[in-house]
Amino acid sequence: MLTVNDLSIPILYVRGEPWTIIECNHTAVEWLSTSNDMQSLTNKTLSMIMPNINQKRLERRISKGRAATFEMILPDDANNRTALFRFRPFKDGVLIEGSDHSSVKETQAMLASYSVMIEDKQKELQAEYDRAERLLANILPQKTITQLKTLGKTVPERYADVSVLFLDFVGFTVMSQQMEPELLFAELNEIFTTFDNICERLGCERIKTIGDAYLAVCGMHTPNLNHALSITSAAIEMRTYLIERNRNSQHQWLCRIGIHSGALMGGVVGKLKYIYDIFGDGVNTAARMETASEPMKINVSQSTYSKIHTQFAMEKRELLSIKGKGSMQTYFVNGPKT
Amino acid sequence: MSLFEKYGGFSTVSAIVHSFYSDLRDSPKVKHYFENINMERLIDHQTKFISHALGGPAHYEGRALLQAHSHLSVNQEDFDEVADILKDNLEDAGMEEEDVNTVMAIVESVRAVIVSK
Repeated sequence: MLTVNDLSIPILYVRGEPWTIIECNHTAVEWLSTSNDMQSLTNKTLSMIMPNINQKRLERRISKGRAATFEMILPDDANNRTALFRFRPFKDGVLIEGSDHSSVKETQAMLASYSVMIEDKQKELQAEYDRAERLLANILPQKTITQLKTLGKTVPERYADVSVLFLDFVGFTVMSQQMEPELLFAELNEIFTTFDNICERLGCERIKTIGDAYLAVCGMHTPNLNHALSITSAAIEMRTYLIERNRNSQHQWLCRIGIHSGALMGGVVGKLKYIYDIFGDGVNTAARMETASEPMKINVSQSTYSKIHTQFAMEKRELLSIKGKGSMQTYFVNGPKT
Repeated sequence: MSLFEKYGGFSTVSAIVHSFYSDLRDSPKVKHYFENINMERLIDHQTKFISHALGGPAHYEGRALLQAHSHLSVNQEDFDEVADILKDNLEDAGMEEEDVNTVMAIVESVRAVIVSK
C-alpha cells in the first residue's frame, strides 16, 4: 500500500484498535527494531515499539484531523539520537513519519538553559526592586513616592489640621559628655525604637529625629479626626515608658514634650538625599511648646487643649511669653481622665 | 506564582508555541492565514501572546492584536478552531484543566478584537 520507500525517512502505517503496524519501510525497521527484518515490526502493536506512547493524546488529535507528534530516543542507537514521529490521519489509519530530532533538541536545551538564566536574573532584579521599594516606603510617604515616580518631582502639600509632637531630653549635652558614645547611641536607639512602636500602634507617624529630639505627627498622611487625642496618648505612653525604664537604669532619661495642633506643609527637601520634612507655623509652635515644657511634662497649646480637654486631666499654666508669638496660654497633660 | 512560572517558564512556552504553530499550518480550516507570511514575526507574536496569557514577562496589548488581524477578516469559526488548537496544546503541555480554562478565558477576551466578520 505504501509506495514511498525512501530509505532516509522511516515510515509506518498503523490501523486498528490498538494501533497495529500494517506496513513500514526499511528505515523504520532500522530505527525501531534490533533485527533487520521487516517482519519484526509488522503486525506488532505500536505500543510495543514505542512503549512510552500516549495513544489517547495522539488519538484525540488524529480524531480532530490534526497531526500529532511523539518524541523518543531511538533504541540501540549508538548516538542516542532523538527521533520525532509525526502522526497524521491517512486512509482509515494513521501514517507515521520519523525525523532526526537531535539538533532541534540541542537548540531547545540551549534555549531552555538561557531562558532559565534570564528568568533567574529577572527574579533577582525583582527582589532587589522590592527591597528598594520597601526602603523607600520607610523613608517617604506613599503619595510622595508615587509623585516622584510619575512626575519625577514632588509637590509639597498643605495639611490644615494635624497635631505635632516634639520631644527632647533634658541634659542631653551633659549626658553625651559623660557616657561612651557607643552606649549613648545604643540607649537612644532603644528609646527611639520604642517611641516608633508606640507611634505606629497609635496611628502617629515619626517624621525625623534630630540628635536627641524626636518629631512626630498625627492626622497627616493617614487622616484621623482624633489626631490630638492619639498623639497625646502617644506622649503619655512615651513618658510612662521612660519612667519604667529609668527605674532599672543607671542613666536617667528625662524628656520634655510639647504638642500643638495646627496647619503645616509637608514635602521632600533636596534632590540627592531625599528627606521628607514638615514646615510651618504648626511645627514652630509645637517646638515652642516643647521648649516651654518641663522635665517629664507634656505641654500643649490652646488649640490642642480644646480638642482633648474632655478626655484628659489637664493643668492650666501661667501665661507664657513665647518667642515670636507673644503671650500664650498652655496646659500640662497629667494623664487620662479617671 | 504565575502560570508561566508554574509550568517551567519560557522553555515550556516555547514548546507550546512550536506545536501550536505547527498545528495551525496543518489545519485545513485556518492554514491559509499562515501561508506566505513572515514566520519569525508570527513566532515572535505568538511567543509574546502566550507568555502574556500565562502571566509571564511579556506585555501584549490588544492594539497589537488588532493590528495583526485587522486585514484578515477572521470569522467566528476560524477563531474557534485556533482557540481549540491552542487548548489542545496547553493540555498536551501538561497544564491542569483549571489553568487551561484561565488561559482560554484570556483568549476569549480578545475574540472581539480579532474577529471582524
